[in-house]
Amino acid sequence: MSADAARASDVIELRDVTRAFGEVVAVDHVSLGIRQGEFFALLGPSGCGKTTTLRIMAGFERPSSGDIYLRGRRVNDVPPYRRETNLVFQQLALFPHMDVYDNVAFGLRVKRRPAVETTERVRSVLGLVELGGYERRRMHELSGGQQQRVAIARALVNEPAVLLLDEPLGALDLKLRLQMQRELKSMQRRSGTTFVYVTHDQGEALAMADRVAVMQFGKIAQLGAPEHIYSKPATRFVAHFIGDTNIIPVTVRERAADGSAVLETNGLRFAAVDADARPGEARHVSLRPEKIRIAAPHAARPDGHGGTVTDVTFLGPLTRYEVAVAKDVRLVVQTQTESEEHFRRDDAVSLSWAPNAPVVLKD
Amino acid sequence: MVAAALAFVARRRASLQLLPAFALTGGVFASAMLLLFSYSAFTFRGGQLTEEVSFSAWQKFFADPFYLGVVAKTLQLALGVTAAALVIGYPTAYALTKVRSSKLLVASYIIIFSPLLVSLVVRVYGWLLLLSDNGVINQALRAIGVIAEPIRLIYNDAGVVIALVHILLPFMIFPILSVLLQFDHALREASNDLGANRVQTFLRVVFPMSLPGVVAGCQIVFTLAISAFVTPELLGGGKVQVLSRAIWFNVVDVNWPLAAVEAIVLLALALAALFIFDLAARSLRAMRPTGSPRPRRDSPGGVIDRALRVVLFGVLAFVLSPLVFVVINSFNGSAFNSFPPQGFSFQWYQFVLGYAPFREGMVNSLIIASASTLLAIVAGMLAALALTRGRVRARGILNAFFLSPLVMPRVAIGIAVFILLIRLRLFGTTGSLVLVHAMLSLPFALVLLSASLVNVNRSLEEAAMDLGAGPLRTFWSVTLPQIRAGLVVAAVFAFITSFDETEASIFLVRPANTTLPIQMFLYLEQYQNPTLAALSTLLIAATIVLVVVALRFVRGAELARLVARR
Repeated sequence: MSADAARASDVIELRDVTRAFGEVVAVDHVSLGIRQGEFFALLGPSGCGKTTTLRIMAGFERPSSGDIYLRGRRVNDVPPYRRETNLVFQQLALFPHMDVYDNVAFGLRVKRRPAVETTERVRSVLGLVELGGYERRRMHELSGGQQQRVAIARALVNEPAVLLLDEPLGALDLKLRLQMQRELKSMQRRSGTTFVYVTHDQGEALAMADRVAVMQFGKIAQLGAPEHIYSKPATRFVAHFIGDTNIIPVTVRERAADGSAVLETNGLRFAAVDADARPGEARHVSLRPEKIRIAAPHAARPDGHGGTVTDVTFLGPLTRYEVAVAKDVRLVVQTQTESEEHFRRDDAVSLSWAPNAPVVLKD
Repeated sequence: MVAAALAFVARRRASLQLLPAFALTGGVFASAMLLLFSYSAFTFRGGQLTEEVSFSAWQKFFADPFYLGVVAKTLQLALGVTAAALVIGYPTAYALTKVRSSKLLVASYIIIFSPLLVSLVVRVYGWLLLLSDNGVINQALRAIGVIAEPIRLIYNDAGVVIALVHILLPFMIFPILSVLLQFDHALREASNDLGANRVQTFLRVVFPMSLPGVVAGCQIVFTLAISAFVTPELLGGGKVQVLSRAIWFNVVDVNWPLAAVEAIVLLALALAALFIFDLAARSLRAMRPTGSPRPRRDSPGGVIDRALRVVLFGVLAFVLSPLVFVVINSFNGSAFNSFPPQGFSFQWYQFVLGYAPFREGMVNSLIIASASTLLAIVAGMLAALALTRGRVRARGILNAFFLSPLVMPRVAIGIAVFILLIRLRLFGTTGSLVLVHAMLSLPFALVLLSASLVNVNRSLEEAAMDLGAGPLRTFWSVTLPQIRAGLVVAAVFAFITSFDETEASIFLVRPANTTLPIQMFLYLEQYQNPTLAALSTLLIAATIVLVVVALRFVRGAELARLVARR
């Protein structure tokens, strides 16, 4: 059991977990550990296995193989009603035949906590989610945001080791969703509870999470802090899924001992640092639109690449250009509308970027 | 002039469409009910009925403790039947939600709802075969040595309750099942997640949320149980004195005022029960789920599920057994319904086919059922068109008015219409029975056809009209094909309603001009031999043929949609 001791800081841990439904492998050899008190996001498109992973943590699905540990104890065979996890359901699943108080008190009553303690804890958690005074409301008398908070309170009152949230903001409109994101983050901080949050919305994950696992085809494509995943995407999928980017197919021409390399595509040559690549290899590069500088030809930098504007889209605070730089290479460039120079279609321009802007991807 | 007339018709179209249905429900049902009230005030003295207003029947009813006892007995019996139906019906409905095999599921549905397609008299006859002193159950218990003397199962409450539960069980199972099938599986998971195991989840979440179905089921079963007549009459052996039987005997004695009072009391009890159950249902209405429910069958496994499976098979056997033993007995070589059958014989079939009263009753029943079905479908279709499409004020009230014969005790309708027909000198005519049966079938036709019409794609009709089809042509070639399922089901319902109608018709037939179920009822009151088994078997076979043929006209998907809407 030395492995358990080594991972003592992880409140929940999956070890090589696979879950197959017949032929379909929903979760494919996933290993990950979630730290005490962190806000962890499982991010990916629908069908990537993130919800199944969450349901394995909650106990609604059993791993086909592999093990799951909760506070160092193997819980593969522990049913949901004996696990110290609580789930906030996608459709909330509030009990319509009960009022707010009874919904929140449900878990404590089932566990036969003393009435005084139940009353006290329900009141305190309703205060935490700012629903004091709503005890006797029925579910259909609440707004979407209030129902949301009841669902969170109903789970939090049990003081779970981990609070699992399955896209709980999906049903809300955009404005309310942004407000609830901030509130969720602050509730998590105030309660000190570990949150595992499933979402397909990369903005949501980046805004709230301490760490993000991006999932694809049942596997973890990349795991790390949001800033890291954004600036150093590991794969084409991650680069595309997180934010907007240019994916450029390149051939590696040279590689120096310090890890920097010279890349080429259709006559366009540029340098990259930290390139784990061999000369002659065909790879892909991610280049974020806002990392590219656009300038008039007379103001071009020496390392600039000449091109022609083929399309301009005004996005309010930002302006988006499409620039043809070489044969069959079109780059999307994004500038601050207010502070930068403006161009029109067919203008000749020069593009440049820092050597650390291009990220050489694994696939 | 012509243009003005056409414009008038167009403006009044909805009213004109409602006219036939209104004539049936208003002309037959409502006027009979009003007449019933006036007759309750008349006087019966020295074996004679006079139209002197005295309210003496009311005084007699409320002064004589005998009648109070009858009311108490009626309520007690209905409560017992409702409780028993709930205790059997709830686990059955719950077990049905766990069935994974679609074959078993379809078979279960067919078996549970099959009693509704079989004549009431046939079902009661089946229970006589099973429960009598020499019946299947007593013989079997004696054979295995459990008892020495037969236990009394008929001519007391037990037999009446057993048979009524059998007859009314589908009305309990269906509403509970439909609520349970809507149950949001996520709520079960939420409850598990919060620490509740399966039993706690059932008691705290599933059962409370299925209460609307329980209330609806109890409402239907209780209302039908207080007004049952044929079952207590035939299986009670004169010992189970309920209101419907008191009405019957007072009509025979020409004491119409007292019969009217009893019918009104029965009506009041039925309405009170409806009202009380409605109040209960209203208090549960706050249970609207948040979000859209995602029903999913709970995964089976464990002791509880095995027990539920046993319950399901037990109930299926219970539902089927009287019908099965009717069929077996029809080939009995003995003349005394003896069990096990002594020898094999077709003699009862020969007898049935040669027995004039049955033959005449059959012809009469077929004529009445066909004519009343046609009438109910036409009136129902026109009314459904007006109510679903026309600009009709007070739509809800009109709907309730057309559906009201459904909730009225059949016996009360029978006595009321009986008095009306006597006054109009139409008593005993075939035409009068056609009208009454059409009035009783109209609610089914209206509900089913309205449900179908709501599903019709209106833009197809608009396309047909845009392409030059007139209103009638559009209805015939575009609307009608889309509501075929509803039409066929409504016609089958109407036909069976009329063909099996016993409890109202028994007041309305002359001996010379009677229907088949009444002939069977009268036969059963006098004779106990397998003749009725042979006839019942023929009727069961005919029903199966009718349903199979009807289903040929209907695609399964249409039918499923129709059922889902109800």
